[in-house]
Amino acid sequence: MFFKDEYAKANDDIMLDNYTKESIFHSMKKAQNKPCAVIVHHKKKNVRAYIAVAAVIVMVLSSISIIAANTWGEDLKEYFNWMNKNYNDYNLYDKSTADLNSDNFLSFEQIAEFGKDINVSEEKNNFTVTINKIIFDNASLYAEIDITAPSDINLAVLNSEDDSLAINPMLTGDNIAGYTTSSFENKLEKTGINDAGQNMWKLYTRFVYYSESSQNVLHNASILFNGIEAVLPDSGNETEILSIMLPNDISSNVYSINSDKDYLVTAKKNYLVEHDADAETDTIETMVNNVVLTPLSISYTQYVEWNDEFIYAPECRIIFKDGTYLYFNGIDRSSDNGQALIAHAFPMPINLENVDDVIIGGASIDFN
Amino acid sequence: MNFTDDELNEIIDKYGNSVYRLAFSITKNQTDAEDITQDVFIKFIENRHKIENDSHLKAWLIRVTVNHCKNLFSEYWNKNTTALDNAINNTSENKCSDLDNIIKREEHNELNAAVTALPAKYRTVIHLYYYEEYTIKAISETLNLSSGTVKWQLSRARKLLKKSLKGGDYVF
Repeated sequence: MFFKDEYAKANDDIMLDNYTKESIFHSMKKAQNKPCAVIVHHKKKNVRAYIAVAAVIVMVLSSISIIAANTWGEDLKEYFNWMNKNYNDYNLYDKSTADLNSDNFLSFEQIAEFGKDINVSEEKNNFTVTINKIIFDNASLYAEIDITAPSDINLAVLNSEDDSLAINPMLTGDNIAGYTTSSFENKLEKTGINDAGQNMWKLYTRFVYYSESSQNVLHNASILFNGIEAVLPDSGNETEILSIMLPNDISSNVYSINSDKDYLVTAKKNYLVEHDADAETDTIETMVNNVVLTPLSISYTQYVEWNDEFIYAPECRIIFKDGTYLYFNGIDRSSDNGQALIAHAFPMPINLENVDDVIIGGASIDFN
Repeated sequence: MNFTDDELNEIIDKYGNSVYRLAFSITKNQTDAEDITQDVFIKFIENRHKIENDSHLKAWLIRVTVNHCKNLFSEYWNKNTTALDNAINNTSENKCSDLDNIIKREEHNELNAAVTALPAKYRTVIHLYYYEEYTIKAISETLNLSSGTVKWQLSRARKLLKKSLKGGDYVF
């Protein structure tokens, strides 16, 4: 039984009666005998739609800024300084000649390479601390830290019963508590005495983390070690990227990904259960299109269902050829009827050549 | 250019029911649908010089009908739209025969009840797609929506229909 046929049968019964037809006829006749008026039409822009889209962009970008400010806080400045110094040292990103069309911005492969050879040295209170290796793999971040300390101070890892100076490779960030399994494995060994008579130590530290739920995502976590900060990959079960910096210069380069194509994807939806006014969450299908990827952001339009009180923009994942990926949670936002623009800013410029795929709400966006 | 009486009647006969069915499908209210149909045809007369041909006329009528329905929904007093059953019960008696048809259809057609229970925007695309046999592209042009939105609305509407028809044997 075809819906089309049955629906047609049902509608065939709906007809104008003669009384109404006659009324329409007379109205038309009267209207066409009216003297013609010259009507000047001014094309109205859909101001409301523009305002709605602009509001969503501002909201999303504001929330990103707020998250960044809350998470990084005062550390951000130091972090940027630290990173900028190393950018300059390694000439991986020359701000003075920054051209996002070129290869001057970092790829994730470069970041991985950067992490391997990192040699950041900081002197503080007669200590010299050098992070000389950071490796991140699927379930852990591994760092080798060289420490030169005054000879009268012994070093020990935190919680040691030794009275020596405790080393605390602190983990900071949000959602830490969400990890079902996480641990630091620290190993400290004295490697010798330098020419100045200082003790030389080597700290091997490995942070292992595992989450049973992909919801427990580690965001913007850092290892703080005597003022030197290494930023952990932003991740769920897997390790992805090392956040580097938020560039000031925004590129106008825009790359559309099958911009005219529509994607039916999944997104979360919050709604209130009427009988007890409790909020519940459901997963719904939603439509996105106009996916636009730039070195600094990804945006897409999402159709928002009429009468929905709240809806999530679908999560977004940019997968790189080396298997790492950049992940954005769905954004909880109030809805407006029709299309809304969702935008995610990247913590650093990405090399689009290294992007293998873009997945929004579980649907592959066919980047290539 | 003015139409003769015969031409006016021909236009009403040719397109009147299409406009009325669409308006009825969206508003779920016979009186509103009739008013909208009348308004749309008056609008047509006022804009007749802009109409290029028959197919343009039909597309134009459909678009104006949808817009009129939207305007109706946006009016405050109409936000508490009377349900179809109430509308039928409250309508004047001189249209009894038509109402009987509607009630009969309601009673015997689970499908129609399921469609009328859909949100207005879904009823619109369902009607244009399945009754007027518009393509996605034509609907998107008529309603000034992206084809993605139309597909999405159709998809959602079908899902809701399948649910309310309790997985009947309908092939969409």
